[in-house]
Amino acid sequence: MDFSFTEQQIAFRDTLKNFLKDQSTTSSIRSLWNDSSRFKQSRWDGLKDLGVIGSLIEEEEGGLGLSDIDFVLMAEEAGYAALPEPLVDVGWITASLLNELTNNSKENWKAKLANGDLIALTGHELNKFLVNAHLADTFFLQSGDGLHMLSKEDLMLNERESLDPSLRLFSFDWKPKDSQRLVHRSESVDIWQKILNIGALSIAAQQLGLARRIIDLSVEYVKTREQFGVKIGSFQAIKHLLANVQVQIEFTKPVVYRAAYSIAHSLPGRYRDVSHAKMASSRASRLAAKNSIQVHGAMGYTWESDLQIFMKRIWVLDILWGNHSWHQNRLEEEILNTGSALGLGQTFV
Amino acid sequence: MILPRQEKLLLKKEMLILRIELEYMELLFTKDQQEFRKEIKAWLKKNTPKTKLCSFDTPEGFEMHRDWERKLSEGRWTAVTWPEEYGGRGADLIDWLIFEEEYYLAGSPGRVNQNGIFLLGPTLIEYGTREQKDRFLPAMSNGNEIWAQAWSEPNSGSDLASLSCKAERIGDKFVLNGQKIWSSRAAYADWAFGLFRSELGSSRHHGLSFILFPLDGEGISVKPIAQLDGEPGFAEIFFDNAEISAFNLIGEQGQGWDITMATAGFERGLMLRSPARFKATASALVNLYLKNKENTSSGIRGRVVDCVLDAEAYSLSTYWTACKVMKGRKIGSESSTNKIFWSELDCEMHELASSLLGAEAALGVSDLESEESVDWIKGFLFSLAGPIYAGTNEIQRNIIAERILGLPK
Repeated sequence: MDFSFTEQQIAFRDTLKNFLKDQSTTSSIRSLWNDSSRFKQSRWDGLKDLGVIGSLIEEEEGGLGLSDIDFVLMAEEAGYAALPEPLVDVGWITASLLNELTNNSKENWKAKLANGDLIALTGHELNKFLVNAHLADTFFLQSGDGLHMLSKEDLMLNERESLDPSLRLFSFDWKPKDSQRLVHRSESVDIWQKILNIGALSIAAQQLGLARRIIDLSVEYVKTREQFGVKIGSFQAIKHLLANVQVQIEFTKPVVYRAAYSIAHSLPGRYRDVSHAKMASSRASRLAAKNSIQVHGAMGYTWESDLQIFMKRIWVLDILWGNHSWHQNRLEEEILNTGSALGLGQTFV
Repeated sequence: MILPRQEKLLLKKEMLILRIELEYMELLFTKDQQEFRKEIKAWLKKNTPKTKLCSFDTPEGFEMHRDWERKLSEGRWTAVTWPEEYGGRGADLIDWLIFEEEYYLAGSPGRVNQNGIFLLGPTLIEYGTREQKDRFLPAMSNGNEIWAQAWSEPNSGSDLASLSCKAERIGDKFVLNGQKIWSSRAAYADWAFGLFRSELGSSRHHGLSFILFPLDGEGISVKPIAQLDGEPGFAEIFFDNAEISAFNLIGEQGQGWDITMATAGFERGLMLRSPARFKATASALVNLYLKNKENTSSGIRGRVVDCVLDAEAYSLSTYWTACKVMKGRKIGSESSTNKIFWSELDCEMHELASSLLGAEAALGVSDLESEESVDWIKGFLFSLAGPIYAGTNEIQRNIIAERILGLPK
């Protein structure tokens, strides 16, 4: 029993954190709002050089061969920085999908992905939208009929205005063709179950990072802003709003990290653990957004405040890979049962 | 790019080593831990009283619980994390969590010596002299001496540092004068520990001393206070020139505040409320829900699910923190986030139970039909004390804001 990250994991996480602190500033994010690509090549290249994009791809293909337990920390930092580029979608979700495929060698997708040259996205019927589909050439899509690979021309994309100005959202429509099918229906079920879990956990990890960031911004603000002749952060009413979020954040972390472990080890309880993580992060990050606007006062309700960069990301991510209700429904039956799987003494069994 | 190329490659290489590293996150119990679980499970199955003991806040119930502590001690189960020489097993925090899980699974009695074993014990082990440990720890672990705490005073509750109870040092004695209040278990306990102002004219957290005293000592009188359930779960303690041997001073004279904070850290941190307690309540809540679900709204169902998940989160978080502590990190302000989380969860679970109980929720204990309902109603009342004792949740929120988030005082 050792529920902790190794020093190397923390070091790798910190390297990414420092890179993003430098390269994914709020002003650089805002500057992309007028750029229809919503993509900064130099930042993407930097992520590739750090090895993060291909970190889940095995070494022989040019990756690092790491696991979900490593990537959960990266996704948290991508969230903390509200990174506009699709690091998590490509580096975690699509990379995991490629790792599940047995017949990818001829296209060399994995090597291309690890090299930053393949921006491929994964679509699931649970998601109404593909995020930043304009950036991708290749799509791996789920249907009742299996797993298909499509190029952009095969896909009907319809852009919808995104609440988060850093991302572009597209609803998508397609007709499965035999020629595009990589995996048949029956064999694809397990793959899609796994990808759904990874997708949901990737959102949870990002929301956890976003909640932390929003609290940091709010702390900064209330330590500076003065009313009644003192910093407003000295008022208990303000302190308690932020402390309540901090409590939620602290109790979301181990839930998210445990879910990563459950996925990495294909534990039977992984569905439940992932849904728990998604629900906990959703609750914590939405409370973070709400209380942070409140402590910012009218300033929090402006376009000018950087809060919106992070809050809007929280709200948009929230609907992906099953929202709170979807995951609650998935859990409920298992939990509301005598001898529940989450009973006493069952935490790590 | 940000890193020089060589450093980057080095980092990649380090990450490659990760996969074969032995210290990689591991959420399985070791063979030893599984054996430990089996051992405690078997012992509790054999020894847990078949009928529920009376409340330990009654004279007869107190002695029944003392006997249970003695029984536990025969199996060396009262204080598993203590060193073996004092009646413990030298177990680590993971073993303690396993012990607690099995303890609540077995439905074993409440721990009347909780104040001693989980709060004072670790403090004595850290700050006590060899002689003090020899004098107090064995008698604590074998149930011969049951302990009460004595922090608060009538005018020093949340603002504990304003306390004024005096301990005047005269030779090898302290002379105690003043009053303590809200002392848990003091009505029937044998000994108590608390903070006293030992330096004349000192203020706030300076000049305080951590002193142990016998509750039946000369010049010490105890006046029980009936709690919301009618039982004397806490008491006032009056000191009238009570002479206490200086042997009972823990740590340096005047150093009491730091020692108290360490004790309070243990209290709020890990050991006051083990996750097993809330997992047990959550399971009971699920059963209560299943029994009554026909008459229950869907809103209640969602809240029950949230409780089960929060109890799980508390369990995960405790393992997470325990692993940190075992790697040498001190518990700091995390104990404040803990205390808020479990106490609010406990309130929510009992609120829901009250709703699920229907008309029974209006009845007093003597008129309730099942033992289960009695537990829920008593538990409901007690859950409301959770956000108050061991430092109110409002104080905890201040601590989180000031010490974790760095907001100005």
